[in-house]
Amino acid sequence: MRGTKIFLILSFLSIWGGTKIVWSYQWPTEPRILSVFAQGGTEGFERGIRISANNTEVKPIEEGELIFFCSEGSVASLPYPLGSFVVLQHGNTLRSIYAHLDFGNLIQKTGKTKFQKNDGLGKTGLTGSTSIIGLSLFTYDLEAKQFVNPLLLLPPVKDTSRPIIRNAQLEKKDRMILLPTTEPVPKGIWEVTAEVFDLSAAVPTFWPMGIYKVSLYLNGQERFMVTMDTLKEQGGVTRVFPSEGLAYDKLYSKDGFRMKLGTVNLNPGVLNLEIVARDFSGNERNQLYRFRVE
Amino acid sequence: MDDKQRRYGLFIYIIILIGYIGLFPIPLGKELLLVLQWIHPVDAPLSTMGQRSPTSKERVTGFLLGKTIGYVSETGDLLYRESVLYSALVTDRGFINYSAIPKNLVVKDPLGNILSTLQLEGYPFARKDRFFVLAADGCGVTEVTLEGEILWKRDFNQLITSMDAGTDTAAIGLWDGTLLVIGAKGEVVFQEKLSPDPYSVLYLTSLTKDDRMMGVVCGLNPQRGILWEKTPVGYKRVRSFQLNSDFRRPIQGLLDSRTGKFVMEDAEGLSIVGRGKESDRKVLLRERIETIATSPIDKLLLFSTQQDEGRKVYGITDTGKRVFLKSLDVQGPFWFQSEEGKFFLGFKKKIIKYQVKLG
Repeated sequence: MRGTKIFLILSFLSIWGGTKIVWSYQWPTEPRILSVFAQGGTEGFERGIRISANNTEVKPIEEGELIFFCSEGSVASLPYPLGSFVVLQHGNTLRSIYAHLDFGNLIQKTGKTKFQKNDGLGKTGLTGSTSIIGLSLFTYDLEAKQFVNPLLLLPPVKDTSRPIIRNAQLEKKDRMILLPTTEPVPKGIWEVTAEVFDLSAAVPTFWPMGIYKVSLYLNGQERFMVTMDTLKEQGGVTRVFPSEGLAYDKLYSKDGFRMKLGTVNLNPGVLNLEIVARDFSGNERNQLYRFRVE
Repeated sequence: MDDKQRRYGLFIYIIILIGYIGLFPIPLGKELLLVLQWIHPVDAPLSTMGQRSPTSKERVTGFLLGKTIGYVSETGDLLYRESVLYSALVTDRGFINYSAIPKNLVVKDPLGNILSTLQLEGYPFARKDRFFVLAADGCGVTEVTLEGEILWKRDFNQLITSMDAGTDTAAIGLWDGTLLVIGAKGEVVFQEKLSPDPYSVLYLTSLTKDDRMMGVVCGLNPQRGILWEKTPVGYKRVRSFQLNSDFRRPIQGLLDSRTGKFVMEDAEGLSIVGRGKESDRKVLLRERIETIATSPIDKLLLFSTQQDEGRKVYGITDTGKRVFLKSLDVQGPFWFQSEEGKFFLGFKKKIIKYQVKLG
């Protein structure tokens, strides 16, 4: 709980414009973000963020001690899709992972174990399971046993583009209604899904990535809300917190960025269904659907 | 003849005897010898035997040498060859040649025929005769069969830093210092948090083939080793020992089923640790250990090392006594595998089979 509180406070400060005094952590490279925390991967939540950076030196988010590293192709290690990576311990609680690096035998040769904020950990690379040169950054709260959204810790990133909400639909076992609709919707319990994503400013092409917060309102009343602050294992399943502790399959459909926004009980009458999505920089998109229920 | 002369004569006699034994030693028993069986170039034409499936009696050996996967027969015929995409898991029963970003994993038999396709995105690896796939972020693992069946899948929401498998269980070391023993259906059968210390990472986890003993190397300042033995209700610690190593990477090591000895690389070379301190041995090395294997028939431990001048392959007993040493002038791709009573080396585009024999 203590860890959660700390990150909620940091979250609040990040949203309302924290000062430089608060941000003791630094970006390992220029924050050209390609994927965000807890977005839908093919096999589960993304536990970190992916940054694009071409042949750039990677620095620790804070001074820390090297506690684990692995070179791509090392015989002794498991075959990590993270490629060559480094794990640093910051104080007693926080850990950070810098993956897909290119450091060759440098760490082994130097024997360096303490890293200051200006020390290089290696270059951004293409090692492991990645198609774009850069790094993946993960932050973990050892005390609360949870991965933490790195954006809660790192200085704010300038971003003015609003998230996108599209192809919202009402779903039942045997029926699907695309929104908006002029046809009356049969009353009853429906699951609401929509493609909700943000666009990466790091690449000029269409590059969707996850969002930070999504809410669903029915006639002004909140029916669903998820915020991507931490990922924690509960009952053998990884869940996103501090919201309802949703498991991956309860939040994402299989097709890309389609999110499951909970179920609503639709009673006869004219209804307002509103989806609100917000990225970490505070840019918000509201999508209102007005339809008749019979 | 007085006493002084007699003692002087005895002294001369002993010196002559020692000199004679030194110059003309009498063999006290048979010694283990390395006998070359065959050498086969990797880029040679495939054997015609490759046009048919080897029968179950025909033993084949898979190899991964640099960017080449292949299979050789017991007599040294090259049965199959394929270029590595990104990396590969090669076992005697089949192989998975995968790209850096695999969307699925295609399992092929030793002749390159497709056996199955696994709809998993991580990287595959084998521990003893079992097959696993490590999740893309290193926090989960799935046990699979070469026939494409998923036996169990678990997500730990923590980085897996080491893993080994026995016959019925698998031991998994996590980065927070937790050791888990997973049963055949993916259930946790034993769990222990080794230390509350934030620096408690598990750098090596080993399990004997019969699941009877388990060993780990964990933590920093100091690094420690721990041995467990199976009980009817779980595992109990039988030994905890301090090491003078300071590795912050995965460590090479194994637990030998036959002797119960825990063999691991350490700061000075190799440590052989048993249940009691009196049986501990050290093998001092200047080179870095690459792979460690056992050869139970010969009661030997085999390991290869790497240094600037090349590679070495050592054969030692569990008491640390060196039985053989083979020095190789090899800097490039290298492959080393031990089987019962024989071992294979691959380097400079050649596969070589040796047999360990009494002679």
